[in-house]
Amino acid sequence: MAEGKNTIWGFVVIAAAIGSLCFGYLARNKAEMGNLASKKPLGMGLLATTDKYAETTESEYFYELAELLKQHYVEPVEIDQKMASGAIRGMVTSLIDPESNFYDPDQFTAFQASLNGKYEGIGVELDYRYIPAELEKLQSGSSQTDSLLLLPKIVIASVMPGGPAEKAGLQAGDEVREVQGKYIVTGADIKELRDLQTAVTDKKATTEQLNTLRNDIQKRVENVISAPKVRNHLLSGTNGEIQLVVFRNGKEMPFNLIREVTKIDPVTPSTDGSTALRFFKDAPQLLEKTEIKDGMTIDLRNSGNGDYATMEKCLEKFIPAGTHGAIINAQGKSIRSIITKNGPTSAVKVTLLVDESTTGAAATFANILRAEGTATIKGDIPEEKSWVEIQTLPDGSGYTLAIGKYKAEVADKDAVAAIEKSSELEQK
Amino acid sequence: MKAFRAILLVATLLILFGIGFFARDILAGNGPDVKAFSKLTTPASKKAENPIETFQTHYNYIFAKHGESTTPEKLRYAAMSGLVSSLGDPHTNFLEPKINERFSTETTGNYSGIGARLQEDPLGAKIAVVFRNSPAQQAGIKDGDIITEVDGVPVGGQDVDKIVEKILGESGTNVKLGLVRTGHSGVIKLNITRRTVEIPTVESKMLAGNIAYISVTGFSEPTPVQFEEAVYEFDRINPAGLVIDMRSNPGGLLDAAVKMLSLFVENKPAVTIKARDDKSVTLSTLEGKVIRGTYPIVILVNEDSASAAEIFSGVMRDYGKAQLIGKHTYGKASVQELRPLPAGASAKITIAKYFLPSTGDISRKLDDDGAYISGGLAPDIEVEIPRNYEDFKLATPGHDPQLDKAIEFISRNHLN
Repeated sequence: MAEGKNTIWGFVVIAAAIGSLCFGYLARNKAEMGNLASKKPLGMGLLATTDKYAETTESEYFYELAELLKQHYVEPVEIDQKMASGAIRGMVTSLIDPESNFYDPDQFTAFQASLNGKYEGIGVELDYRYIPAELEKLQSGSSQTDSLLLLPKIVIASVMPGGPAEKAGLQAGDEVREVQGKYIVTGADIKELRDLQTAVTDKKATTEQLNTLRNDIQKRVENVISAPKVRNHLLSGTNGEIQLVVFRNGKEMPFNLIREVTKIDPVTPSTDGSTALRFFKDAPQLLEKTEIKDGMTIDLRNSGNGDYATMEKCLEKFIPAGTHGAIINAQGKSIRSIITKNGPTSAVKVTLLVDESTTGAAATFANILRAEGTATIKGDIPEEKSWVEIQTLPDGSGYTLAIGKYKAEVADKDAVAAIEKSSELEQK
Repeated sequence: MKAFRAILLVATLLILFGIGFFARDILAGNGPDVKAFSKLTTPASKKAENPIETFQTHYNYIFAKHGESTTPEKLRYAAMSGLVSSLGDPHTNFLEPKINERFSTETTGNYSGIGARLQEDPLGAKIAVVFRNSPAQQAGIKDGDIITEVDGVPVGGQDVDKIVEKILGESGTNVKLGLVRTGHSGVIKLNITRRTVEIPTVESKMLAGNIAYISVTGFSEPTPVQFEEAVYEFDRINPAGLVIDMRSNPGGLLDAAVKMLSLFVENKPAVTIKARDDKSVTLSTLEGKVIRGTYPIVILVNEDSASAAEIFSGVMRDYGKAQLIGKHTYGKASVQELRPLPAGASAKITIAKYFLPSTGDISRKLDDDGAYISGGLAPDIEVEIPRNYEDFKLATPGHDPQLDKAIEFISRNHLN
């Protein structure tokens, strides 16, 4: 009897011992991972590493790797927001999407300032232009993408009035080829080389031509400047000289500029009676103070990219409340609707001035008003870019995420609503 | 007595809890991270800034909006690469399952392929070295050829890693390659049978003027023995000089380099490895292996000489045993270790930095665009190979300016 009791007690003690060992391990996971700690039995840290891919969640993977670095890296490291931002940078970059960009804290500060109408650098906005076929391949999810052909051309999208670039004579549409004596290498350069290579193979071009081009590209590659660095030089900083060479109408043109702050109001009346509108953060408030009336002319040229959410708010001044189309991704799925909660009882009839420098939110604005049938468009609206959402991260960095393009009519509105609900980002 | 037992039991359970709690620290050989306790007691609401939650939130968001143009796997691995890059160390990397496999085969020295080393080229992959007696050599592939097609698919513009992945495969299977060769019009098509190739890391020959030449292309397990045999054999005939070619040698096993140094430097500190928390270990060369000869030794180096190759070259010079000729070396002053992760991925982590006896730290410094600023070993005599030097033939006197300089140096110093 006593023996039996002892045996039971023995088991209980051993079970308790194992239990507390496991509990300690799980408690540590919980301490490090918060609510994301696994509810599953003991993880891969203690036991054999035979986990299948599906058994490890993203956050467990993040923790495993971060912990590995913390334990083994030669310098002391902490699992901090910098790591989270690094991981997010990796994800955003992996989309290789022209409008989805990650910004370091410094760059993000400058980027947000530009959304408030305060431009640093030379007072321009830049556009990355890809070889359309290559971009399409990428966006269709093809694995046959070619990273070299996806090096973008860097083109001046808008020139801000009163800024250094405008004073020096830079124009929207100029392609930047050199900055501070360093070269930009583009997918178009690589494609040219490859095409010539094929031509030589087919005996349609000479080896000398190929060698000349190869040496030229070699020279550029050896003294190359990356797209983010170009952005740094041209879009941030409030002093210092910038030397650049742009390509315009088949000619290379050198420019020297001094960086400074260019401040622009989102709503500026001009002498010819038109009102220049840019979708900077305080545009809705300033529009409150502006008389919006039938027959007015709105100038959307050199608009800058602007902020899409702000543009959506500004729509309330021009068209009645309701749903005005949706954002559709490359696969044809609706990601979100464009909705105004307030608005005039009937739409305001306006004239919009547009040209190739009407980019980003301004181009979408023009397209929405055109679809609503309430605007006369003067000029050609350039091909629309993706609707961009902006996210701020705890360490001061941030990113933009392109979610799709505007489409006036959507067949299945219920589907849209469901997606919006599931993809709602909880901002803390 | 009963009370005592109960206390003992509770104490044991608490200790076991502690062991469980600090299991990660203990398994990694570190002291317990006591700060982690405070994380346990902080209420969840105050932990909104938890980096893992930040990551998960944005992972969900990006996947919800971009699910069609990516996959969970792609997004996850991109995130892990980004996480590791945030340390700012070019040698600490996250390796996806496939890449991981290749890294392990490289250090053991055997793989099934065509038997050539490839390097980046805008048109595809350039053949850097064709190994002796390899399928590639038998098929007539030459150094400098550029692979533009694999199995009929153009590979121009792809990462050299990706191209290598396509060429590697099971022993006995075939791979079709399309090559372009300078001075040859059109694409050369070849069908090659893959075979397990032992990567030779040491090759030696006698050059004119009684000059011995040994090329070392890596530091794997068999390297020290092969190197020793070659050096002893030459030492017996007392050559006019010895050229050790470390060009484009990416390094490998650190121990191998130290063993090889023992042929020239006896019982001296070779390299000091400084690990975490200022733990440091100094590896010294062995006793009783030094050669007899006193002939001049030249080591050829270039920008692709890295890691163990730099240790070997740098230590030789620090003890006045050799002159370095060529270009400055890469500057990889650290030791990495491969750590497994779930699903067959792994992380290559810098666990220590190394310091040479008198040169000290040789870490490479880069600017933001990845352009070289400083680092590596500067050569005693700098010799550049012109970019369009058509006649270049590696290790062939008269066609290799760096080797020619070495021969000239030896001839001059030997006569004196």
